Amino acid sequence: MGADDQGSLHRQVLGTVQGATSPARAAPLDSSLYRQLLETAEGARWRTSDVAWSSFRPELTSPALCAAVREMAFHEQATFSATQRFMQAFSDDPDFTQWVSVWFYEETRHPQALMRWAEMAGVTFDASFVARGRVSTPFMRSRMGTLVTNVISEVTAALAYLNLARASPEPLLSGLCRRIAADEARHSASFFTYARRRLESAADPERERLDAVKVLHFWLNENGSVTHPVNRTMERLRGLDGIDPAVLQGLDTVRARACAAVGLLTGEPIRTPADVEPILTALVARAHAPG
Amino acid sequence: MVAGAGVAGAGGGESGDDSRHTGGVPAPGAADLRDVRLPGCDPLRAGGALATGAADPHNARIHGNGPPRASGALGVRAEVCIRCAACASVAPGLFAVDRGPARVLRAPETEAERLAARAAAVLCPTGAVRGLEERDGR
Repeated sequence: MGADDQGSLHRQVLGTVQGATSPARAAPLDSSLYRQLLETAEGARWRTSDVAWSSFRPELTSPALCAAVREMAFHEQATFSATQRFMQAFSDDPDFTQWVSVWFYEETRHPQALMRWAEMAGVTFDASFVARGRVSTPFMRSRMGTLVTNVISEVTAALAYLNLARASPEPLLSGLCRRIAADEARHSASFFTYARRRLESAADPERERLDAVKVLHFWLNENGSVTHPVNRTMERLRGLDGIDPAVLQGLDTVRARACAAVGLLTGEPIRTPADVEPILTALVARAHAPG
Repeated sequence: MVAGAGVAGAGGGESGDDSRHTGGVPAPGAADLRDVRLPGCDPLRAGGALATGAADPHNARIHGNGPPRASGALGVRAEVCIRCAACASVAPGLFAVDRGPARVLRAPETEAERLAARAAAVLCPTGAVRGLEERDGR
């Protein structure tokens, strides 16, 4: 499928929502992705008062479970600095930066909810906990790369929370993690939607496709050598007594979803990690081809 | 969770491990990809990720949108839907989430809509969105 055909198809499926939303063309707010995604989020979003805090069962907690929750709460703090970077990197994109406010609002609740549970379980946090967790490193130059990285990160986070929900014997934590997983999954879809819009309105869609597949390639091949939050969560869960190994789905799941998502986004036939290298090579060759 | 694209966490994790990483990747353009030797990628497990529903204790009855659908038809397995609205975010004309589980508004009619529906299936965290994926051998 050619780039023009793909853009046309995306416009068809999203109708007025997906119209000309290039930052350079300044779409009117009433046709923005922000409005669509905000309304969708408001229809699905949980409230703090929805959480059955009184269902907490202290006898079903454990040091390992508390450690896993503490770790995830810590990593969740990074959304603060990520938001600062989003606002800077996409400052000329009103639609996206408005949506980032939705994302930040929802993400801010995650560590707070996890810390509230942990405090009920007897965990204490010192004054520096939040500040230390807010540190992150700069974004990459490519906006497409940033968006695709976040698609993958949110897919990863959703899986980690679902695993924790399935593994936790404590019912309050289990329900809380399901709600957070839902937020993360919706965020992955939202980042995907903005990445799709960017590709559709790009002056150089080949370059955008290349950046998207590059990110996928690096993520697939570099991620195994670093400690990703989902890896760390899996380690925590494996240390819990009585956990059914079937609930400990690992990075294979995330890898497959990442490949499928980038394949659908770019229109490239990426279905498994093994597909990425030849496609990336072809994209690089096209990018460097004369003329 | 985290997101900062390319955002490797600077400094140590809460447990003091300096290798904290939050989903970041090297910046595109940081390497000449023509010279990169790519390590082998793990093949997908049979029935792997995109069939996460298979790992769920819940099984197969598709409901909430009429009777079970033939392969290729779009459906939502209400019993595993967590109301995340990922489907409605990527394909707003095809899915809606209100008070209950996600529901299918209508079947995709164009190739673009089929692409959107497949994106909804891929991004559904529990494998609740089912139907079109069989066409990809999933």
